[in-house]
Amino acid sequence: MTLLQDSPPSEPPAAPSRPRHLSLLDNIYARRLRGRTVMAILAIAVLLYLVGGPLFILATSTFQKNEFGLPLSAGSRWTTENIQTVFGSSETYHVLITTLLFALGSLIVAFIVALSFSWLIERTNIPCRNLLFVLVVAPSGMPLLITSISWSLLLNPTNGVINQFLHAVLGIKFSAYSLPGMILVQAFGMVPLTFLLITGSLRSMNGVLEDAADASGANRWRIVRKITLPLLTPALLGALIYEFVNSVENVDVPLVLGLPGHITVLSTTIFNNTHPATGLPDYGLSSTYGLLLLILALGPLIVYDRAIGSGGKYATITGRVRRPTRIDLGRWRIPMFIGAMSYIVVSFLLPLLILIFASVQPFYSGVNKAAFGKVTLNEWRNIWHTGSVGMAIKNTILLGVVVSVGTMLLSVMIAWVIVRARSRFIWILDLLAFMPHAIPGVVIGLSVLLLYLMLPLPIYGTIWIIVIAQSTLYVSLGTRLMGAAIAQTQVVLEEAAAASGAPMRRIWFRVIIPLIRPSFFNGALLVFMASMQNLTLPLMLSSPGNVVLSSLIWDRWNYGLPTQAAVLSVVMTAITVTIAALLRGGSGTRDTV
Amino acid sequence: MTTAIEVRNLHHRYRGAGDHPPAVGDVSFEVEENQFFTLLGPSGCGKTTTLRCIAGLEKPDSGEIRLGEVVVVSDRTFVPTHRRDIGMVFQDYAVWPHMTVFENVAFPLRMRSNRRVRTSELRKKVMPMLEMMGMTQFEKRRATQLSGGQQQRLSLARALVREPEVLLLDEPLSSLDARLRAQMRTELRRVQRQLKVTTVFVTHDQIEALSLSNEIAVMQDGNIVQQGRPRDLYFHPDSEFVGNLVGAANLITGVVHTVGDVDSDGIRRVEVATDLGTVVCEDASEQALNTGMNCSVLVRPEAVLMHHSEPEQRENIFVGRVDLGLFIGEGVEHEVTVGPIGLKIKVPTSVRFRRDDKVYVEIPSKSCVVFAQ
Repeated sequence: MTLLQDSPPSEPPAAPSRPRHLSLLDNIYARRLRGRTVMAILAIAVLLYLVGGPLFILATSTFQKNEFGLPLSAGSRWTTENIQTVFGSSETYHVLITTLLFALGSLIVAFIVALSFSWLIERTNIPCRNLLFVLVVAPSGMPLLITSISWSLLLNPTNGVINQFLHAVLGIKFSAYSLPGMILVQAFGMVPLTFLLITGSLRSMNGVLEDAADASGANRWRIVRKITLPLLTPALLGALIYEFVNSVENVDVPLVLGLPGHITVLSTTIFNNTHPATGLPDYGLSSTYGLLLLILALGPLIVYDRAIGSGGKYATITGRVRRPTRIDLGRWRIPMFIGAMSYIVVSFLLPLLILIFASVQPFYSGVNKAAFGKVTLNEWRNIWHTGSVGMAIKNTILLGVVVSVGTMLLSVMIAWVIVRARSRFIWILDLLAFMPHAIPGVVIGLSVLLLYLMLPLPIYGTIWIIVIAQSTLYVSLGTRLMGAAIAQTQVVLEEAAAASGAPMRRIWFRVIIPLIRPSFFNGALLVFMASMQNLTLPLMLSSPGNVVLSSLIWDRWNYGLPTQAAVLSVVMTAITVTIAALLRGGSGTRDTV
Repeated sequence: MTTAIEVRNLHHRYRGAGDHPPAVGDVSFEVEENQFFTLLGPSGCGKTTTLRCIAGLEKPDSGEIRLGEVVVVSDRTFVPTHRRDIGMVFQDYAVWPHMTVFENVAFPLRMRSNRRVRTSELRKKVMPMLEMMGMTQFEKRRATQLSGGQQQRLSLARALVREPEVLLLDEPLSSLDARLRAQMRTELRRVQRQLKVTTVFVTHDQIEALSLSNEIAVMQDGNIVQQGRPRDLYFHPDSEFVGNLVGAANLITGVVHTVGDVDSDGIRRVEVATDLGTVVCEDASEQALNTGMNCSVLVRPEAVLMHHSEPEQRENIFVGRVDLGLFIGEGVEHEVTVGPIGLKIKVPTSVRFRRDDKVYVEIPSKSCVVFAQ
């Protein structure tokens, strides 16, 4: 090869000296390795603090009794008394059965509605499919608390609008303050998310798989049974588990509709034991109930893990994907559309209208001629001057911003370590980040409450305790979103940057962050909205100083001020529906990644 | 000639691989300056791991790697990827979708310093690079708006723009379709000749390896089994494995019958008793061959001759029957049954053979390679 060279080598060949070792300062790898390790250790530490600490306190305080105060403090003793009380009383079993009925009932209703809509919108030629899609998803902007309040206005046995109508026409009444009433409202609340969870996989399903069954001689029903449903199984099971936890963890529906009808579920039992109307809170007892709820929520998750985690049976099959053909509804096209629209009117429009109506009444007392004469905007003018409203708005924004940004930053870090690290110990991080997903919100609220009652940190009673609790609650959501985003960006893009001379820090700023930015913003917006809508945690951790919009609405409603509650509800719904709309707009512009 | 890359006793085992053999067992080689060096082998042979160790994307368990004068891997040193003077092209292009073509190519230049580099300064380096790849008109396009071939050319431009000491190519052509692959192969060789950059190329495709390389190292199960120039590997493979890997081959098993004396050119005549009959081979290797040893004879399909009538005064003539003929444009590939075995024979299109024709198969002794078992 020397023959081909234009000039002789400029330097004489180096003498075979000892290989030059780089100085310690040059040896960045050691530092990078340490940087990666530090990131992993930091992530594990933060998660242990957020997740492990509260759970540890919950478990220990189950076995503690203190008549005058906190577990694990002076005057408390080790005992199994709580367990005996809980499992010894028939009340517990009654609550347990009510909880299960409530959860399963609302799951069944929500899934039937959501599956029907998914099928109609993705697989048939029903008219105005895009409009229907938006209208089914839009109620996700309405917090469950507000849905519950509006249904109480529509269906309460004394002056509920629908009941007035039913009574006048048919002579019957349907009370919202009953288990069927609670199931219905909870189901309305769960339909949008369930729909979103199912519809994606129904849409991305490869039509060729169904065509192949068709070509093999299977009729339409057999195709659905043997091909479509089995392919949907992971999505359906995943959605089912997720919504099951949702239906047992929240206090919204059980407080607004269950309390007046004396229907108690586990979440309200925990809430009542920590916030009794009279007397001292019994933290030991509520911890035991909390543990029971945790086990209830974890059970299905383990089953799910067994079913899905056991192999590549459900692995996405890559290859050319063809959209499935739409089914022609024929003369059922218009009736189906009318049916779908009626559901939307009843489940979303009616509650919205009654809220607006109640907000312009001096005192809501049903919809009648007299009420229309009394329409007034007084409360819309006056409410802003009450001190707690200003504080609640300020707190809500502070909470939403800090929780969404903080949680997402933490999530990016955790997700990157989980997706990219090749350590054997990464499953610890994975498990820790996944845990909050399975822990009911009311249990997180209880554990965080206990932890900061005991820790000498001055955050109990401030907004920061809610920040911490919500960060714990949403970190698994954030990690999932960012994990998916990072897994989608090929690792070679990072390797190519390193091979181009970019150190880790610049790879982060020039490659990783720009690539995941759309997902990050979408995730942050999602967490912001969830944080605003969440009532369970602000209520479990409430103090006069840390009221937010959701807990304020409950407070006004509970004090018998429905007009104020309605005004605030309309304001909040307007904000969250707007955010929900932004969310979809944001998720539509990902074609560049 | 100076050594541009030196890899010594490289050993690497992936974590969690359990009892599996190491990805790289014990690999040593040197690449001279300006050479095009290829690591060839089937998937899982350790060729990509070796390349990733050179790039610093993998930290080997042990061994030493030197790039130019700099020891980048040793017991006590590990220079991270971004501190190595390399350019790398990946199998799946790895162009950044959030940057334009220009920004992609300019990226390595920006990484040289911590301060902002002026665009006019960047253009001086980037534009000639784009011109060389015939991509100047795409300068402002987003990288994702390019076709596969264009993305790979962009990726090559990005790897070369900072004039690296070493160019690393990780199966850069395998994502392209056949026509583009042939075109890029030519282009790659032209660019490498023009820039005279020492190149390490990883592939499983024997045509790429043979046509591009100055030197090829064939890897199997984490080790280099044979290293040499393309012609040496093709005509004088050391083993059945290498023989099969670098091209289509007929393998005929047999027993060594006689071994002749080595002549002045280092060649000896070996007679092998096979199922066909006695095959005379001209063996150029230094392997030990003794009468009675089991062995196999390798002969390339295009080296075998086929006649309608019996040729005179020649050795290694066998009678066979044509089973199948595949017309592939540049020639015809035949399956011919000779005695109990089938032979692949590739002939020019000038003479036609039909199915069930009786043919005389001639295996030139100088094209036969013998392997002792």
